[in-house]
Amino acid sequence: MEFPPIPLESWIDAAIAWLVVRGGPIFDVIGKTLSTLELLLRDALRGLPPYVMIPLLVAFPLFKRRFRTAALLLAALLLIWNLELWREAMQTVSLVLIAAGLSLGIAVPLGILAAESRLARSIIEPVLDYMQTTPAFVYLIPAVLFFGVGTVPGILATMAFALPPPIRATSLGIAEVDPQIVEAAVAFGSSRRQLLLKIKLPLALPYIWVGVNQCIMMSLSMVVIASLIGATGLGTRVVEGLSQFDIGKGVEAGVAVVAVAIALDRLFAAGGGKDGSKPAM
Amino acid sequence: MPAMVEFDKVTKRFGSLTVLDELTFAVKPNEKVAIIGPSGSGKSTLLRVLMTLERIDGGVVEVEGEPLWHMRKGDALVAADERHLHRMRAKIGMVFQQFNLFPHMTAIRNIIDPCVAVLKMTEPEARARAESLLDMVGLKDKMGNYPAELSGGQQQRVAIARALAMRPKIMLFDEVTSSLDPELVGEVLGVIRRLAREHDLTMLIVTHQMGFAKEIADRVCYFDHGRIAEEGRPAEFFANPKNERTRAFLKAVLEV
Amino acid sequence: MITKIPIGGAAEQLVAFVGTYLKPLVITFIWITLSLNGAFFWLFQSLPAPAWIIGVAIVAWRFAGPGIAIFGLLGLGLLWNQGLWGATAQTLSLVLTGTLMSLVVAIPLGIAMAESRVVNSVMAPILDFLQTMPRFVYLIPAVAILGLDVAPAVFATMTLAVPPPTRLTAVGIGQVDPRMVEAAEAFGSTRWQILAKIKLPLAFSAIMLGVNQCLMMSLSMVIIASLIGAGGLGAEILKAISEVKAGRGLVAGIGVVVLAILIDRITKGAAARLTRRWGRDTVMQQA
Ligand SMILES: Nc1ncnc2c1ncn2[C@@H]1O[C@H](COP(=O)(O)OP(=O)(O)OP(=O)(O)O)[C@@H](O)[C@H]1O
Ligand SMILES: [Mg+2]
Repeated sequence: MEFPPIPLESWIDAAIAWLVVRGGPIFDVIGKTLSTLELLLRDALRGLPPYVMIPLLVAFPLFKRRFRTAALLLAALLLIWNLELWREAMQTVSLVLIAAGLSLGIAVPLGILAAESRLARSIIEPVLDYMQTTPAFVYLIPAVLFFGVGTVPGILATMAFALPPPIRATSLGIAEVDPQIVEAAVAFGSSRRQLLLKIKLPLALPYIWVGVNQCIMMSLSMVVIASLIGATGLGTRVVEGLSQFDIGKGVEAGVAVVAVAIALDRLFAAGGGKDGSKPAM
Repeated sequence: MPAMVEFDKVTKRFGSLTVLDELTFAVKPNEKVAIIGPSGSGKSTLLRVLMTLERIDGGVVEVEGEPLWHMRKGDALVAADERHLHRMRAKIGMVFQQFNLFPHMTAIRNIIDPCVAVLKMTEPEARARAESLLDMVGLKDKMGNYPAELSGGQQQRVAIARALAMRPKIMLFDEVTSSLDPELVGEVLGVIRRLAREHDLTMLIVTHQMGFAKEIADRVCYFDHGRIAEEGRPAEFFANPKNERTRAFLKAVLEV
Repeated sequence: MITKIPIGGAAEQLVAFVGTYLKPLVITFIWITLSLNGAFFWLFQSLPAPAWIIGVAIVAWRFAGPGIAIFGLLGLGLLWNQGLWGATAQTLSLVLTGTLMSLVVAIPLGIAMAESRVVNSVMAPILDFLQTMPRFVYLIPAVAILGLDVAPAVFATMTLAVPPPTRLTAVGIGQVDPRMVEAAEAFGSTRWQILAKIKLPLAFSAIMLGVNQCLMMSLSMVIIASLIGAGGLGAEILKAISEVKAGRGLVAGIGVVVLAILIDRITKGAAARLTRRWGRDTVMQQA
């Protein structure tokens, strides 16, 4: 009892062709905006030579008197420079920052919405469940379908992949705010808005920072994979190393990716937390 | 003299549990009322209803002759909207058992920020008020500390200052010393005692400290099963309780 | 500028070293993965697709409810209908091989971490490191040492899929109420008995969550490992992407998502079902 195969592939092809034609202008605008943004950032990051950039970045944790962080950051950055992969690394970082930044711009409001509205939560929760069970690789497909190959689909796939953790972190952070504190604020007559901006968000900040960090790490992971669809950078080197069976090249690029991961992790860890306030958590 | 607070057959339920049972109860302006009673009898709920933290299921609550949970629309009473609640809330201040200071703000910020955000005061005005209030509760030197850096008694005194900063007409105290170490109780009670003596404030005080109730209150209400089972002037009330259950309760707490 | 640190060269030498001196180990690993993977694949081929699909639907019904059962019936039916059953079987064989081998490493390691401070302080940073590393990077040492095909795919999968169950096993055992352990000690139980009879059963739900995460990580990595020659749905996606065949890629992508959801929901449901009785038992003991 064999069924003839449903012509799903040709239906999808037709639907996409239709969408691409109809939605052409929208896709164009998205694509142009993203690629312009990315170019600007990439040029900015590459504009300064490593011997200027490295002290600037290391000064940041030093300023906060975090010497171990500074040392680790310095080591990671010097390693990238030494491996002669600075340009590729900056390209990867620019993709990560754009994707993670946009992703956070969507995620934090959604997280707030999920925490504040039961209806929103009942929609967002299951969607996040599905997104998080979907393997990384699969995100590449729709991106390529609509935007071909290049940095733009890479950024979009990365954004989608990195979206769930910060949404969850934000909404968890807000939900975890002590209800008694919220009550005290209500008793003092704060409006909903004041309650959110002055009480809940500041108290949720440590959680949100964890979400930011996870978002950046997941973006890096995905940006490297997205080199497969033309988002160039360190990932390209890894793929070349793999396909040319050039172990040395692949390992060097891989080490550089790890160094970038450490550098980003340390930099954003230096940004978050210990800012004088002492949330009781 | 019209009542400052008036409960008229107020009912509050949590599911099938009736916590306030057609409660009728009035407080005169400037009166200090101590509320005592067994655990779970609905004392906190009474204060929380007044603070608009819990909705009611029946009856009418009035503050200064104005319905709290309702608005007058022509002759009819309709459910209050958020604006009405907001306006009514401004008349009432509350101090909680667990202090509930905002943990991400210093002691003085805990007072300044609500003044600026809710009362629309300017920053310098609010700061001046905060400083004088912290001075009053004896914490001028702890202004810049975060709640986590203060003792329980100090936190509770900041919380009292914070509630006063909003210039309420009615102050609610819900077992404000129950989560304090015994040696810290005195300093907080001292502040409340001074408030009672020196300020024109209507006060509702839920407490397990019978001595304190006796000393400070104009009237003591014994709360049981969501109703006032017995009330009276402190001297008579403690000397000669009429109700059997009141007697049992007093005996039990005084023995401890 | 100082000279470039010869990381690439060192890596090549290391690989050469492993290739010469640890050859028996490498060969054993390849042999084990190939046999396991072959066995699983044979199992999937031994019954016709409809039998498997109905079987999965029944299991899904039991553990995750009718919704997931219908989802499985339709999703897997679609894969079969689209001529992707073979690829699905290949992917699943790799996932099961990777998961099995990961768990064989992870659970004892987790126990060791919970029982020994030294092991814990050595392993914790290594696990941290493995978990923050971008997934792609795992492919490189795998290819370098094991070449292409099944063995490196399983090896890369293991690097990603070992940390979560290791952590969860350690956490689960660490959270066992010390009073229970003391009670058992008072009866004169040996350390080994306490582990087997008290700690492991009480850590069961944490370990099951670890198994679930291990499976999900394996699936994710097995798909990526198509880049180093692992066959299955990942290879279909890769081919579709490089040939710009939108429909083909999306259908295979949907297939991967179907597998992910089925695996996730069924294992979570099974874990909940198996631990529910435990929960009740402990509650009754306390009462
Ligand atoms: N949010 C709630 N949901 C359900 N039941 C509640 C809720 N709040 C209070 N209750 C119940 O209402 C009853 C009265 O509670 P309330 O807190 O007013 O008592 P209380 O007199 O203040 O007691 P205590 O002296 O222990 O503080 C209790 O039985 C309590 O369990
Ligand atoms: Mg109470």
